[in-house]
Amino acid sequence: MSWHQRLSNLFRRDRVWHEIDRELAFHLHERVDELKASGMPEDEALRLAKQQLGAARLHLEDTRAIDIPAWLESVAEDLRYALRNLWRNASLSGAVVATLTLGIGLNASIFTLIDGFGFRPFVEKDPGSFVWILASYSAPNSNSAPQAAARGSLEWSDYLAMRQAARGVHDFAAWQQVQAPLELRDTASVRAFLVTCNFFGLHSVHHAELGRLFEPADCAEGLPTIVLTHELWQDRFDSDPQIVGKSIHYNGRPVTVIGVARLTAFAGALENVRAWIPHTAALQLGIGGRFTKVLQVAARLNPSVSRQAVASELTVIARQQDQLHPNRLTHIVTTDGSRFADPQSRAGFFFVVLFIMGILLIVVLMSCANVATLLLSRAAGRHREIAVRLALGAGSGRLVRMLLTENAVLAAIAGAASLYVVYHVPDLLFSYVSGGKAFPFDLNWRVFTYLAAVTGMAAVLSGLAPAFEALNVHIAESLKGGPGWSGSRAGAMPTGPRIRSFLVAGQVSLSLVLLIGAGICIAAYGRATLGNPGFDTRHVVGTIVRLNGPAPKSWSAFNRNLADSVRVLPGVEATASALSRPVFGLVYAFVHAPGEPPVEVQYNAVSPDYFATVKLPIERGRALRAGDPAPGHGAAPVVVSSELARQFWPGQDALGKTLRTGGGDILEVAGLAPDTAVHNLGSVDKPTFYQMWDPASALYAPLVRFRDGRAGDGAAMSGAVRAALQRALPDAAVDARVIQSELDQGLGPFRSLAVLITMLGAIALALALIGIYGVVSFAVKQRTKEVGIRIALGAQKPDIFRAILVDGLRPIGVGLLVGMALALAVSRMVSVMLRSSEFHLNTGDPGAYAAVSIILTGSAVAAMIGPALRAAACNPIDVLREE
Amino acid sequence: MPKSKNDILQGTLALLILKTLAGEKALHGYAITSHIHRVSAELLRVEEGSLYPALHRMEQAGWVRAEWGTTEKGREARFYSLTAAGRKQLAAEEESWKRLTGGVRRILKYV
Repeated sequence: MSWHQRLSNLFRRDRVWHEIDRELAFHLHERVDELKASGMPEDEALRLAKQQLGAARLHLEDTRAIDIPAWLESVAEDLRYALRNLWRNASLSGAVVATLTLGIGLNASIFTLIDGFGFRPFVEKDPGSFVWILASYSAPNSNSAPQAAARGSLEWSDYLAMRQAARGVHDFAAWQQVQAPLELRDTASVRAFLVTCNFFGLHSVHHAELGRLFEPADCAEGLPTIVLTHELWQDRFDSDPQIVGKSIHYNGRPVTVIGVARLTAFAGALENVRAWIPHTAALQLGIGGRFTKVLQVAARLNPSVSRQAVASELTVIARQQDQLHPNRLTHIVTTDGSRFADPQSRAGFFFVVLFIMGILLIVVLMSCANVATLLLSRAAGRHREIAVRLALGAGSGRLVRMLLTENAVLAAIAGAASLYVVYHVPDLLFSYVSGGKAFPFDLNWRVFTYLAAVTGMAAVLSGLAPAFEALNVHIAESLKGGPGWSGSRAGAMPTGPRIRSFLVAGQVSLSLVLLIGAGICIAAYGRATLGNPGFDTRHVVGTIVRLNGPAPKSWSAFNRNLADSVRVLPGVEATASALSRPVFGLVYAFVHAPGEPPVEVQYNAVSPDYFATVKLPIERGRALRAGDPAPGHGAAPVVVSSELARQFWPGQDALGKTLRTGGGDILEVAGLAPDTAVHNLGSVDKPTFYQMWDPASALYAPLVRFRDGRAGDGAAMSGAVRAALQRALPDAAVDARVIQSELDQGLGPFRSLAVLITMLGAIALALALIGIYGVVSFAVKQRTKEVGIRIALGAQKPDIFRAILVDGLRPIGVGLLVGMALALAVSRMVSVMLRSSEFHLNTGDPGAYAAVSIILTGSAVAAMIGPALRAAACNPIDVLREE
Repeated sequence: MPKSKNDILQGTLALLILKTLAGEKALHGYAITSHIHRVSAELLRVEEGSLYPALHRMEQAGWVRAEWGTTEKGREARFYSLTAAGRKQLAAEEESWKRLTGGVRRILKYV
């Protein structure tokens, strides 16, 4: 028999069974009629008829379950049945598919991001032959794991030895990231890779867009050359078609452009690199020091050489090199170039992945819960159909399968839709978070396996409860048109409502966790943007001045000129000079109180009018004043922040206390200033002290405060200052920025993170509300009869309204309590994770917890009002007539 | 009430159905069972679990023709009627039944 025949046979048999089903149903009705005609009461007739027919039906189902073709056929039947059913309930199916797609698609998208960063080799083409070489050095015979050297830094001499001797690899390249301004007058740095001349070969980039790429001759000592990225060529050189051969500057020194090339993600785009320079030019350009430590080393495998073999070969070469360096042992590890393969980043990566996947699991569980709620409502609506099937003798296992098939179909559609999401969303997300960068995500078997697994999980999780619920019927009740809850006669709590309450509580608690996360982020962002930074950041312009050429003869005169040049500008209220700008130019130093261990603090050297200019009030003691000595000449008076006083002398008066710097200078606390809060998302900055400036020793850049009238026009303020400085110093590189604008810029990445988490929280809230609405309106429908009787017996509408709300609120209350406990546990985990980072989130913020609980409860009540009003408005006559 | 032994002998179901349908009118499954039940003076009862599959087998063999129609009560039911092949088959089955019962009777008499 041909496959075609077998198949058509399968469908023919399917049609036959379907027709027999219909005939049996007809048969049942006829039998009931006959029994009734003989004077039997209807329900008794029905019972008897079903008893007789049930045996027949069971017999049929049994014979069909036995052989495998029949099993296959029943699957096909389930599928067809499911499709027909889904089509009939198109709007419900649409809602289910949309909800599942949201959960599955989001989940798989983030997994794609993680896969890209964790498991993908960091190279575009032919990842199979790529080998990343990680080296570290330790003292021989030391038992401790090698950790002295940073990831992958290989000594230049070792690199050269390996490149010469290694037979297993080609395109053995090394590179290092540097940054410097292009032209003399630029203050902003441009990042570049200092590379060996086979760098482009390693990345399989063979053609320049314009000109040529590096050749071995470029890495012989000679004229410094540079290859520009397309972006730099466009932005800074107006896409000049004649650029090749021209001399431009890097770090203010001449360099010849030999080509323009497309920037790919792993050849520098992820690191914001804008140009490539041969390592031999480093000295002449004055960048990167000497190319002694190369940070990254990678190569391509020769045919039929394994990464393991390369590691062995390189280790042998390293042993020979080690003989030149007594007391040194080199460790070589080779990987495929993915982050996860790097032993040093694996642990941290694993933790972050676990955390993110945890959040996503919440979203997927919520959409499953939601779908389960939606389907539960329908399952109840199908009780009569299920009852007929059970009455006809279908096994309940068979029916569960039938119902699960429907879910599988829904989940499969959602999975397919998620594929579309996965093709587009990861790029959008990454571009949003990274500020417009692109990452070559590739959709590989890992992503597809994950997508399939999540889809399968969603199908089962969202389907089991409704399936069992649907089977939980009391046949006679259902067929008579009663509610059909099996428990409704026994007076026990019916299972259906219990499952639903459980789902609502679960959803509320999960969305509470996400929303609290969002709340904490928003609170931190609000504090950072709206909070008091401790001084005037909106009217004060900070400056950067970098001299090209020799130092002036007298720094004092130079600094005075610089300050005078901005003081005369219109609208200026006050000026001061400082070693570093107040926000991002700060300098760190170790200081210690007598007899105590050193502590890292930040400091600034300022002119006496600094405090008045940036409006940093002196709380106690005095400000610095003209005539105070700078450190290095006996005990120097300093102003310290409250945080410093708290840390060094808790509970004591800091005034008059002394500190010592690492260099042995003595500092005496003369005044106390309030804390500033600009670095850590609105939390108090590190301990800080302000020392007297020494205008004769170095360049002190001016700070300018404008009158209120000019505030809000940051561009005009900073533009005026920049122009004045450039006039005073025609050859220097100068820049001026309102301090607040630097603060805002620094918050950019955090803002995208906060927006993302808030988005997730909003999705979770929306899911939870839809779920609550569905459950309550379904419960109302189920209780119509009860409500009708109550109203008929004299219950007032407000009573009904209240009863519905109270019933609905109970699981929400439980959910809130559970969610609080969960959120506290998670936030504790997060704060442990963040302890070592620069971000300080107030994870215990009671305001966030309270606000989120109120929002959640409020919107839950809002979602319930509609159904509750409907219940209260029902007309008892109509309801009772329906029965 | 003790259950009377009224199962239909294997192989005779087709004969009973064909004979029932031999009248001019097309009948649905329920009418077929009622007819057999009534005419046999309630001695024979056709199992529904066997009747419908048998009807479909006979349809496949070309002995009966089936059509969905509406009963007087307005219910949808499948009506069966004999085809020419069915009439031939009925004759053959009646013939073989007579031979079988004849044989059985003789054996019963002999002992």
